[in-house]
Amino acid sequence: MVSPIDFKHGIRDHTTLVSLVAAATPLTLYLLPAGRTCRLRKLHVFNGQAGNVLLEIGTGLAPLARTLPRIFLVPGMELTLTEDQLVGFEFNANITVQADAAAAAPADVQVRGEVEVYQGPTG
Amino acid sequence: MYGYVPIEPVALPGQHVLLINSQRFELYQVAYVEPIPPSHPFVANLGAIGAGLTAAVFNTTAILDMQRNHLGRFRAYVLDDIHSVVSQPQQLSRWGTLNQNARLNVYAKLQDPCDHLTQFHVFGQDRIFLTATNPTGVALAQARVAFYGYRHVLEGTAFAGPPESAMPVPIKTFADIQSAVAWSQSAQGVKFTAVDMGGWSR
Repeated sequence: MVSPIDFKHGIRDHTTLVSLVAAATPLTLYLLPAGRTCRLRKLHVFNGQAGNVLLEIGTGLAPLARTLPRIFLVPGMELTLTEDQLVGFEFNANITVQADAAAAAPADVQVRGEVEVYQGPTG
Repeated sequence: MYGYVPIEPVALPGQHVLLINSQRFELYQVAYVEPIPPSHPFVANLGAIGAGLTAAVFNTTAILDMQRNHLGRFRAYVLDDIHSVVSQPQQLSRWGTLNQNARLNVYAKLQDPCDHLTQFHVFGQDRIFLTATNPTGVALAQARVAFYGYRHVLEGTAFAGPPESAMPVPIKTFADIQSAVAWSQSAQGVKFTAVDMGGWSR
Protein backbone atom coordinates (compact mmCIF):
# COMPACT_ATOMS: atom_id res chain seq x y z
CA MET A 1 0.00 0.00 0.00
CA VAL A 2 1.33 3.41 -0.91
CA SER A 3 1.24 5.86 1.97
CA PRO A 4 -0.61 9.16 1.51
CA ILE A 5 2.63 11.12 1.51
CA ASP A 6 4.51 9.17 -1.13
CA PHE A 7 3.02 8.51 -4.53
CA LYS A 8 6.00 6.37 -5.41
CA HIS A 9 8.34 4.08 -3.56
CA GLY A 10 11.96 3.30 -4.28
CA ILE A 11 14.60 0.95 -3.00
CA ARG A 12 16.92 1.73 -0.12
CA ASP A 13 20.65 1.93 -0.70
CA HIS A 14 23.58 3.21 1.31
CA THR A 15 26.13 5.77 0.29
CA THR A 16 29.88 5.46 0.47
CA LEU A 17 31.67 6.57 3.63
CA VAL A 18 33.10 9.91 2.64
CA SER A 19 36.07 11.29 4.52
CA LEU A 20 36.44 15.01 3.88
CA VAL A 21 40.10 15.88 4.40
CA ALA A 22 40.29 19.27 2.66
CA ALA A 23 38.24 22.40 3.22
CA ALA A 24 35.67 23.36 0.57
CA THR A 25 36.56 20.37 -1.58
CA PRO A 26 33.44 18.43 -2.58
CA LEU A 27 33.40 14.66 -2.79
CA THR A 28 30.73 12.34 -4.13
CA LEU A 29 28.54 10.88 -1.42
CA TYR A 30 26.20 8.85 -3.63
CA LEU A 31 26.74 7.87 -7.24
CA LEU A 32 23.26 7.91 -8.79
CA PRO A 33 22.62 5.46 -11.65
CA ALA A 34 21.68 7.15 -14.93
CA GLY A 35 18.00 7.96 -15.28
CA ARG A 36 17.17 7.34 -11.65
CA THR A 37 16.40 9.85 -8.92
CA CYS A 38 16.77 9.56 -5.16
CA ARG A 39 15.98 11.15 -1.84
CA LEU A 40 18.33 11.26 1.14
CA ARG A 41 16.63 9.32 3.94
CA LYS A 42 19.35 9.13 6.60
CA LEU A 43 22.54 11.03 7.26
CA HIS A 44 25.26 10.18 9.76
CA VAL A 45 28.15 12.61 10.17
CA PHE A 46 31.10 13.05 12.51
CA ASN A 47 33.18 16.18 12.90
CA GLY A 48 36.79 15.29 13.75
CA GLN A 49 37.83 18.92 13.62
CA ALA A 50 38.80 20.90 16.71
CA GLY A 51 36.57 23.73 15.52
CA ASN A 52 33.07 24.24 14.26
CA VAL A 53 32.26 22.95 10.77
CA LEU A 54 29.57 23.83 8.27
CA LEU A 55 28.64 20.81 6.19
CA GLU A 56 27.03 21.28 2.77
CA ILE A 57 25.10 18.74 0.72
CA GLY A 58 24.21 19.21 -2.92
CA THR A 59 25.15 18.20 -6.43
CA GLY A 60 28.21 18.82 -8.56
CA LEU A 61 31.90 18.86 -7.74
CA ALA A 62 33.08 22.06 -9.36
CA PRO A 63 31.50 23.71 -7.55
CA LEU A 64 28.98 22.02 -5.29
CA ALA A 65 25.48 23.44 -5.72
CA ARG A 66 23.84 23.27 -2.31
CA THR A 67 20.40 21.67 -2.22
CA LEU A 68 19.84 21.41 1.53
CA PRO A 69 20.48 24.00 4.26
CA ARG A 70 23.96 23.90 5.73
CA ILE A 71 24.46 21.69 8.79
CA PHE A 72 26.33 23.15 11.74
CA LEU A 73 28.66 20.78 13.60
CA VAL A 74 30.47 21.64 16.82
CA PRO A 75 33.88 20.03 17.51
CA GLY A 76 33.72 16.25 17.97
CA MET A 77 30.03 16.21 17.16
CA GLU A 78 28.30 13.10 15.91
CA LEU A 79 24.93 13.74 14.27
CA THR A 80 22.32 11.42 12.82
CA LEU A 81 19.44 12.83 10.84
CA THR A 82 16.66 10.46 9.86
CA GLU A 83 13.82 10.71 7.37
CA ASP A 84 11.73 12.67 9.86
CA GLN A 85 14.29 15.46 10.03
CA LEU A 86 15.51 15.48 6.44
CA VAL A 87 13.73 17.36 3.69
CA GLY A 88 12.84 14.92 0.92
CA PHE A 89 14.56 16.80 -1.87
CA GLU A 90 14.69 14.62 -4.97
CA PHE A 91 18.16 14.42 -6.47
CA ASN A 92 18.55 13.72 -10.17
CA ALA A 93 22.36 13.79 -10.07
CA ASN A 94 25.10 12.42 -7.84
CA ILE A 95 24.90 13.67 -4.25
CA THR A 96 28.02 15.53 -3.25
CA VAL A 97 29.20 16.86 0.10
CA GLN A 98 31.77 19.34 1.38
CA ALA A 99 32.85 20.97 4.65
CA ASP A 100 34.24 24.45 5.21
CA ALA A 101 37.05 22.98 7.28
CA ALA A 102 38.64 19.54 7.20
CA ALA A 103 42.02 17.85 7.48
CA ALA A 104 43.52 14.40 7.37
CA ALA A 105 42.14 11.84 9.81
CA PRO A 106 41.50 11.96 12.68
CA ALA A 107 40.64 15.60 11.94
CA ASP A 108 38.49 14.68 8.96
CA VAL A 109 34.73 15.09 8.61
CA GLN A 110 33.04 11.78 7.92
CA VAL A 111 29.70 11.41 6.18
CA ARG A 112 27.57 8.43 5.30
CA GLY A 113 23.91 8.17 4.43
CA GLU A 114 21.04 6.12 3.16
CA VAL A 115 19.01 6.95 0.09
CA GLU A 116 15.70 5.89 -1.42
CA VAL A 117 16.29 5.37 -5.13
CA TYR A 118 13.51 5.57 -7.71
CA GLN A 119 13.26 3.65 -10.94
CA GLY A 120 14.30 5.30 -14.19
CA PRO A 121 14.35 4.49 -17.90
CA THR A 122 17.97 3.32 -17.72
CA GLY A 123 20.17 1.71 -15.12
CA MET B 1 -11.56 -7.28 -16.36
CA TYR B 2 -11.59 -3.94 -14.58
CA GLY B 3 -11.95 -5.16 -11.03
CA TYR B 4 -9.99 -3.65 -8.17
CA VAL B 5 -7.37 -6.38 -8.37
CA PRO B 6 -3.73 -6.71 -9.44
CA ILE B 7 -3.24 -7.09 -13.17
CA GLU B 8 -4.11 -10.41 -14.78
CA PRO B 9 -3.82 -11.71 -18.36
CA VAL B 10 -6.66 -10.89 -20.72
CA ALA B 11 -7.25 -14.59 -21.30
CA LEU B 12 -5.30 -17.83 -21.03
CA PRO B 13 -4.01 -20.00 -23.89
CA GLY B 14 -6.91 -21.63 -25.70
CA GLN B 15 -9.38 -18.93 -24.75
CA HIS B 16 -10.78 -16.34 -27.17
CA VAL B 17 -10.57 -12.56 -27.16
CA LEU B 18 -12.72 -10.06 -29.04
CA LEU B 19 -10.67 -6.99 -29.88
CA ILE B 20 -12.84 -3.88 -30.11
CA ASN B 21 -10.68 -1.62 -32.21
CA SER B 22 -12.04 1.53 -33.83
CA GLN B 23 -15.54 0.04 -33.74
CA ARG B 24 -14.37 -3.19 -35.37
CA PHE B 25 -14.95 -6.47 -33.56
CA GLU B 26 -12.30 -9.11 -34.26
CA LEU B 27 -12.07 -12.55 -32.71
CA TYR B 28 -8.73 -14.24 -31.98
CA GLN B 29 -7.54 -17.15 -29.90
CA VAL B 30 -4.79 -16.82 -27.31
CA ALA B 31 -1.84 -19.15 -27.96
CA TYR B 32 0.66 -17.95 -25.37
CA VAL B 33 0.88 -15.58 -22.41
CA GLU B 34 3.81 -14.20 -20.48
CA PRO B 35 4.23 -11.39 -17.96
CA ILE B 36 6.13 -8.13 -18.42
CA PRO B 37 7.25 -7.19 -14.92
CA PRO B 38 8.06 -3.61 -13.91
CA SER B 39 11.60 -2.86 -15.06
CA HIS B 40 13.63 -0.02 -16.49
CA PRO B 41 13.14 -0.79 -20.23
CA PHE B 42 9.44 -0.17 -19.64
CA VAL B 43 9.92 3.28 -18.20
CA ALA B 44 9.25 6.09 -20.68
CA ASN B 45 11.13 9.32 -20.08
CA LEU B 46 9.29 12.22 -21.68
CA GLY B 47 12.25 14.46 -20.85
CA ALA B 48 12.63 17.74 -19.00
CA ILE B 49 9.52 19.92 -18.71
CA GLY B 50 9.65 23.52 -17.57
CA ALA B 51 7.35 24.83 -14.85
CA GLY B 52 3.78 24.85 -16.03
CA LEU B 53 4.69 23.72 -19.53
CA THR B 54 3.54 20.82 -21.68
CA ALA B 55 6.01 18.54 -23.43
CA ALA B 56 5.76 17.48 -27.06
CA VAL B 57 3.68 14.37 -27.76
CA PHE B 58 5.63 11.27 -26.77
CA ASN B 59 5.39 8.21 -28.99
CA THR B 60 5.71 4.95 -27.04
CA THR B 61 6.74 2.94 -30.10
CA ALA B 62 10.17 2.03 -28.70
CA ILE B 63 8.62 0.66 -25.52
CA LEU B 64 5.15 -0.69 -26.17
CA ASP B 65 5.03 -1.76 -29.83
CA MET B 66 4.27 -5.46 -30.15
CA GLN B 67 4.70 -8.09 -32.83
CA ARG B 68 1.80 -7.86 -35.30
CA ASN B 69 -0.12 -10.73 -33.75
CA HIS B 70 0.74 -9.90 -30.13
CA LEU B 71 -1.56 -8.20 -27.67
CA GLY B 72 -0.19 -6.30 -24.69
CA ARG B 73 -2.14 -5.51 -21.57
CA PHE B 74 -0.50 -2.76 -19.54
CA ARG B 75 -1.00 -0.64 -16.48
CA ALA B 76 0.88 2.59 -15.89
CA TYR B 77 2.02 4.88 -13.13
CA VAL B 78 4.00 8.10 -13.11
CA LEU B 79 7.34 8.51 -11.37
CA ASP B 80 7.40 12.30 -11.52
CA ASP B 81 4.83 14.98 -10.75
CA ILE B 82 3.23 15.23 -14.17
CA HIS B 83 -0.24 14.74 -15.55
CA SER B 84 -0.44 13.05 -18.88
CA VAL B 85 -3.17 12.63 -21.46
CA VAL B 86 -3.11 9.16 -23.02
CA SER B 87 -4.10 8.90 -26.69
CA GLN B 88 -4.74 5.79 -28.75
CA PRO B 89 -4.58 6.31 -31.68
CA GLN B 90 -2.64 9.54 -31.57
CA GLN B 91 -5.51 11.87 -32.42
CA LEU B 92 -7.94 10.34 -29.94
CA SER B 93 -7.60 10.79 -26.19
CA ARG B 94 -8.52 7.85 -24.02
CA TRP B 95 -10.31 7.60 -20.69
CA GLY B 96 -12.74 10.35 -21.56
CA THR B 97 -16.30 11.50 -21.29
CA LEU B 98 -17.98 13.83 -23.76
CA ASN B 99 -16.01 16.85 -22.60
CA GLN B 100 -13.15 15.66 -20.40
CA ASN B 101 -10.26 13.23 -20.34
CA ALA B 102 -8.74 11.66 -17.25
CA ARG B 103 -4.97 11.84 -16.95
CA LEU B 104 -2.18 9.77 -15.56
CA ASN B 105 -0.98 11.63 -12.48
CA VAL B 106 0.65 11.35 -9.09
CA TYR B 107 -2.61 11.06 -7.20
CA ALA B 108 -3.89 8.00 -9.05
CA LYS B 109 -1.60 5.65 -7.11
CA LEU B 110 -2.93 6.96 -3.80
CA GLN B 111 -6.51 6.05 -4.67
CA ASP B 112 -5.71 3.03 -6.78
CA PRO B 113 -2.58 1.15 -5.59
CA CYS B 114 -3.01 -1.65 -8.14
CA ASP B 115 -3.33 0.84 -11.05
CA HIS B 116 -6.38 -0.97 -12.41
CA LEU B 117 -7.94 2.24 -13.73
CA THR B 118 -4.88 2.90 -15.88
CA GLN B 119 -5.21 -0.33 -17.83
CA PHE B 120 -4.96 -0.27 -21.61
CA HIS B 121 -4.15 -2.66 -24.46
CA VAL B 122 -1.81 -2.54 -27.41
CA PHE B 123 -2.34 -4.85 -30.38
CA GLY B 124 0.56 -4.90 -32.80
CA GLN B 125 1.58 -1.32 -33.37
CA ASP B 126 -1.61 0.30 -32.08
CA ARG B 127 0.51 2.07 -29.50
CA ILE B 128 -0.41 4.86 -27.11
CA PHE B 129 0.85 8.44 -27.14
CA LEU B 130 1.51 10.57 -24.08
CA THR B 131 1.19 14.31 -23.67
CA ALA B 132 2.60 15.38 -20.32
CA THR B 133 2.23 18.65 -18.44
CA ASN B 134 4.26 19.82 -15.49
CA PRO B 135 1.69 21.35 -13.13
CA THR B 136 4.26 22.53 -10.61
CA GLY B 137 6.07 25.82 -10.23
CA VAL B 138 9.49 24.28 -10.72
CA ALA B 139 11.15 22.65 -13.69
CA LEU B 140 11.23 18.87 -13.85
CA ALA B 141 14.50 17.33 -14.99
CA GLN B 142 12.65 14.29 -16.26
CA ALA B 143 9.10 13.05 -16.63
CA ARG B 144 8.83 9.29 -16.28
CA VAL B 145 5.94 6.91 -16.82
CA ALA B 146 6.34 3.23 -15.96
CA PHE B 147 4.45 0.31 -17.54
CA TYR B 148 4.00 -3.36 -16.70
CA GLY B 149 1.63 -6.09 -17.72
CA TYR B 150 1.28 -9.13 -19.95
CA ARG B 151 2.01 -10.12 -23.54
CA HIS B 152 -0.38 -12.44 -25.36
CA VAL B 153 0.34 -14.15 -28.66
CA LEU B 154 -2.90 -14.28 -30.66
CA GLU B 155 -3.74 -16.69 -33.42
CA GLY B 156 -6.24 -16.04 -36.18
CA THR B 157 -6.73 -18.14 -39.24
CA ALA B 158 -3.72 -16.94 -41.26
CA PHE B 159 -1.59 -13.91 -42.07
CA ALA B 160 -2.55 -11.57 -44.89
CA GLY B 161 -0.52 -9.02 -46.80
CA PRO B 162 3.15 -8.75 -47.78
CA PRO B 163 5.54 -10.66 -45.49
CA GLU B 164 7.06 -7.53 -43.98
CA SER B 165 3.68 -6.20 -42.92
CA ALA B 166 1.47 -9.27 -42.76
CA MET B 167 -1.40 -8.95 -40.35
CA PRO B 168 -3.15 -11.84 -38.66
CA VAL B 169 -6.59 -12.54 -40.07
CA PRO B 170 -9.16 -12.80 -37.29
CA ILE B 171 -11.02 -16.05 -36.78
CA LYS B 172 -14.15 -13.97 -37.28
CA THR B 173 -14.95 -10.30 -37.74
CA PHE B 174 -18.20 -8.80 -36.59
CA ALA B 175 -19.93 -5.56 -37.50
CA ASP B 176 -21.25 -4.96 -34.03
CA ILE B 177 -21.34 -6.41 -30.55
CA GLN B 178 -24.79 -7.94 -31.00
CA SER B 179 -23.62 -10.13 -33.85
CA ALA B 180 -20.53 -11.15 -31.86
CA VAL B 181 -22.69 -12.19 -28.92
CA ALA B 182 -25.15 -13.94 -31.21
CA TRP B 183 -22.29 -15.89 -32.80
CA SER B 184 -20.92 -16.81 -29.37
CA GLN B 185 -24.32 -18.14 -28.32
CA SER B 186 -24.66 -20.16 -31.52
CA ALA B 187 -21.12 -21.56 -31.36
CA GLN B 188 -21.34 -23.92 -28.42
CA GLY B 189 -18.68 -23.42 -25.81
CA VAL B 190 -16.91 -20.54 -27.54
CA LYS B 191 -16.90 -17.58 -25.24
CA PHE B 192 -14.69 -14.54 -25.54
CA THR B 193 -13.29 -11.74 -23.45
CA ALA B 194 -13.92 -8.32 -24.96
CA VAL B 195 -10.85 -6.08 -25.04
CA ASP B 196 -10.97 -2.30 -25.46
CA MET B 197 -8.38 -1.04 -27.92
CA GLY B 198 -9.29 2.64 -28.08
CA GLY B 199 -10.25 4.36 -31.28
CA TRP B 200 -13.93 4.61 -30.44
CA SER B 201 -14.64 8.22 -31.25
CA ARG B 202 -17.36 10.22 -29.62
